[in-house]
Amino acid sequence: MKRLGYLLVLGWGLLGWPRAAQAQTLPLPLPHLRVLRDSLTELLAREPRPDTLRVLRLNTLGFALRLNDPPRARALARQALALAERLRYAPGLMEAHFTLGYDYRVRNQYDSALFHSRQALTWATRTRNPLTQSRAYYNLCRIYTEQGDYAAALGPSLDGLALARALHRPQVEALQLVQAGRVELGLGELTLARQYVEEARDLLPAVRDSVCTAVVYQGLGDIDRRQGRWQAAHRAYARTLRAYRTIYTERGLLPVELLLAEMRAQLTDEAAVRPTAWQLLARARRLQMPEQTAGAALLLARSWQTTRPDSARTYAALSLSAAAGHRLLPLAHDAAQLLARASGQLGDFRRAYDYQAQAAAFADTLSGEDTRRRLSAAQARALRSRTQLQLDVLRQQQELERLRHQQQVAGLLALLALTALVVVGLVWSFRRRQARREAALRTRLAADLHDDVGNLLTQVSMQADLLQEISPASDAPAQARLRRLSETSRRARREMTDVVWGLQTPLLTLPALLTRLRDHAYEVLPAAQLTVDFDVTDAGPEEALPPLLGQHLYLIYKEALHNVVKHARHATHVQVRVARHEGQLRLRVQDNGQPAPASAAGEPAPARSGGGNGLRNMHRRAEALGGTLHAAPGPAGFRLEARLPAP
Amino acid sequence: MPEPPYTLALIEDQAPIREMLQEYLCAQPEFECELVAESVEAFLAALPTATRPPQLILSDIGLPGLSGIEGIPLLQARLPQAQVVMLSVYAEAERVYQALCAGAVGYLLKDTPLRELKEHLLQVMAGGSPMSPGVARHVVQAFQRMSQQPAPATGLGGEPLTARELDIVRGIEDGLSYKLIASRYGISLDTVRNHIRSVYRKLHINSKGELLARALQRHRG
Repeated sequence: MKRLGYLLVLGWGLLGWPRAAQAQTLPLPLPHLRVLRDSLTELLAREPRPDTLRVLRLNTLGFALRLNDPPRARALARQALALAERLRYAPGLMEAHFTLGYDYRVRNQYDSALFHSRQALTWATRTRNPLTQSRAYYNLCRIYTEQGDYAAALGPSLDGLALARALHRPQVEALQLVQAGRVELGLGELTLARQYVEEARDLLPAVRDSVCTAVVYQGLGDIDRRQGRWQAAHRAYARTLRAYRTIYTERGLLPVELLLAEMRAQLTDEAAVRPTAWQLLARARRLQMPEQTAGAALLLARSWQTTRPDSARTYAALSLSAAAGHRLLPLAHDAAQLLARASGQLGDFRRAYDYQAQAAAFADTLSGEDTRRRLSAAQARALRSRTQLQLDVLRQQQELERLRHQQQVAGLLALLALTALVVVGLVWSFRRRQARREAALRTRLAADLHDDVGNLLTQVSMQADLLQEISPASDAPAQARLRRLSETSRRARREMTDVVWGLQTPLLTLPALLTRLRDHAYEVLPAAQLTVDFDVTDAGPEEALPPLLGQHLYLIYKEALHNVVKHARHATHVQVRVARHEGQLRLRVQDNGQPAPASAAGEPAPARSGGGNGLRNMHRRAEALGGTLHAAPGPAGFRLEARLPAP
Repeated sequence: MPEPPYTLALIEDQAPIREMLQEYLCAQPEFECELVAESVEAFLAALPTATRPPQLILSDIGLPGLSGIEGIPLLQARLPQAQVVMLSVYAEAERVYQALCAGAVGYLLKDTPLRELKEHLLQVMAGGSPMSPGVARHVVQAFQRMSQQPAPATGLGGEPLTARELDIVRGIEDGLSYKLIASRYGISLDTVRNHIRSVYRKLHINSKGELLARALQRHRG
C-alpha cells in the first residue's frame, strides 16, 4: 500500500510529460529510489511498445540507477539511446547521452564521457533546455577537472555557472559554484575557490537538499585540506558524510569515509586510524574502486611507516600499483616516496633510489603538469576575458547602433510628423485663403456690378424724372408711365443692392439684419405714404445667425412689405415687430389696411393673394427652414407672422 | 438766412448724371447754377472764375482724385459760408456718418426723384438737414462712444448732445418723420430741424476734435 502511494506520487511527478524529460538533476533518497526502480521495471516489462514514453521511462530509470547500479544504468541508457534515435526523439537523445556521459566519467573513460556529454549539450541547446545545458556543462567541467585539464574545465565551468545564475535555481547554482571552486582549486587559486564554495554554502538554506549540502561541504573540506586545516576539513567531511548517507550506498560513501579517515590521521596519528583504514581497503578492493584502494593502502602504509616498514612497504606497493595503473599521479607520487623511505629503512637502498627516482619523475610530471595547467588556464582565462571584453565591446557597439538607429527613426518620424503638420497647415491656410479670396472676389464683382448697373439704373430713373418734368402735367398716361418707369428702375436698383447684401449673409449678425430691415422699410414705405413703426428685440450678442435664416427672413419681409404697398387698402401705417423668443426668431408685419368688402375674417382676401405666388413663396421659405408662417386679414388689418428657428 | 435764388455748384464725375442734374436743377427758379465741375480739384481750380461764391454745393462722393468726403474740408476752407450736401449711390449709414462728421449738412441718394431732391436742397437752405434713420443710429452711437471716452487733455471737442437733441435723434432712429417728432415733443418743425443741424455741427466739431486729439496723442506717444 505504501509502495502504491509512493508510486502514485512519484508517477505523478516524474512521468508527467515534458517535465520527465528534465527529470531529476539530483539523486533521489534511497527509499524513493527503490520504489521508482521497482515500478519502472515493472512498467518497462509490461509495456514493450516502442514509443517515446518507453524512452522516457528507460531514461528515468537509467538516470536514477546511475549511482548505485551503474551497469544496469548503462544498459538502460543505451536502450533509450537506440530507441530515441529510431524515433528521432530529441529530448530522449539528450537524456540518454547525458546519462552515458555521466557513467563514462565515473568510470574515468573520459573520451567517451566527453563525446556523450558534448552530444547531450548539443541536444540540450537544440531543444532549448537551459537546465540540461547547465547540467551538461557541469558534467563536462567535471570530466575535464578529473582529467586534470583545468584550462579546458574553465570554459564549461563559467558557462554552466552563468546559465545556472540565469535560471534562478539555487540547487543548480550551488552545484555549479562548487564545481567552479574545484576548478580554481585545481589551478591553485585558493582564495577564489573558497569564494565560490562559500557562495554556494550561503545558498544552502534556500536549497535544503542533502546532496547539495554534501557537495558543498565536500568542496569546503577539500579546500581546507589543501590549506592544511585538518580540523575544519574533518568537520566539513563529517557533514558531507552525514548528508550522503541518505543517498549513497557503501560504494558512494567510500571516498568520503576515506577522506575522513585521512583527516583523523592528520589530527591524531595514523596508528589510531589503522582499523578503519583496513576496513576501507577491504571494501575498496571488493568494490573495485582503484582510487580508494590506493588511498586506503597508502594510509595503512603510513600507519606502519615507523613501526613496521615491511608492512608499510607492502601496502605502499599496493597503493603504487593501484595508483600508477590508473594514472592517479599524486597518490602514485606519495606511494613511491613512501616506498622509497620504507625501502631505505629496510636497507634496500637500490630499490629506495629507484623509488625515489620514480617519485621524482611523478613529481616532475605533476609539477610540470601543474605549471602547464596553470599556464594554459591562465591563457584560457585571458582569452576568455579578452573574448568577453570583445563581446562586451561589440555588444555596446550594437547597443549604440541600435540607440542611434532608434534616435534616427524617432527623429525621422518627428520630422515626418512635423512635415505632415506643416503640409496640413499650409493646405488648410491655402484653402482658407482661397475661400477668402473667392469671397472677396465675389464681393468685388458684386460691388462692381452694383456700381455699374446701379449707375445706369440711376440714369434711367433720372431721365424718367426729367421727362416727367418736361412732359405736360395734363398728359396723364404719359406721366403715369414715366412714374412707373422711374419706380421700376428704382426697384431694380434696390434688388441689386439686396443681391450685394445677400452675399454677406453668411456672416450676418442679428443687428445687421435689423439694420437692413429698417433701411429697406425706409426705402419702400415712405414713397407709398406709409409710416412705419419698428419694435425690435434687443439685438443680443453679435454672433452670426445661421446663414440661410437671415436671407430668408429678409426675403419674407420684403415680400410682406411689397404686399402692403401693393394691396393694402387705405393703409397708412405699418408696424414691424422682430423678436427672439424660445429659440425662434419671430417677425410680425401688421398694417392698418381695411379688409376687402364682403369677406369674412379668416378667409384669405382674394385681393390679397396678389397672384398667389407671393404668399406661397413666403410659406415655402418658412417651411424650408423648419418654421411657420401665418398670414391673414384681421379686424385691425392684415397681419403676417413668421416664426423661424434660430438656435 | 439767404434768399433764393441760391447759387448752386455741382461736383459729379459721371457725365450723364451731371448733365441731367444740371438740366433739372438749373432750370429751377430757386437755383442758379454757378459752377459745374468734374472733381474737387477741377472745382477748386475753377473757383476764382466764378462770379459769385456758391452757397450750396452738391457733391458726389465717388470722384476721381479726392473723394467728396475728403474734399469737404477744402471746400469749407475756401467757402466758409457754403453748405455742402453729399450726393451718392451708396446708402450706407457709415458713409453718411463720415460725411456728416466731415462737415456735410446733408446726404442725399442719387436714387431720389428729382422733385424730392429739390425739396431737400431747399430744406437745407432753410436750415434743415435731412437725416435718415440709419444715420441717426450712427449719430447716437457716436455720441455714446464719445461720452465713454475720457475728454482729451486739450479740452477740444467732447461736446455732448443735449437731452432734447438726443430725443430727436432717437425719434428719427425710430423712423418718425420730422412732423411726428415735432408733435411728440410739442415743438415746431423748424426747431426739430435746427436741433438736427446742431447735432450735425456737434458731430463735426467732435469728430474734428477727435482727429486732433488722436494726432496729438500720436505726436506725444
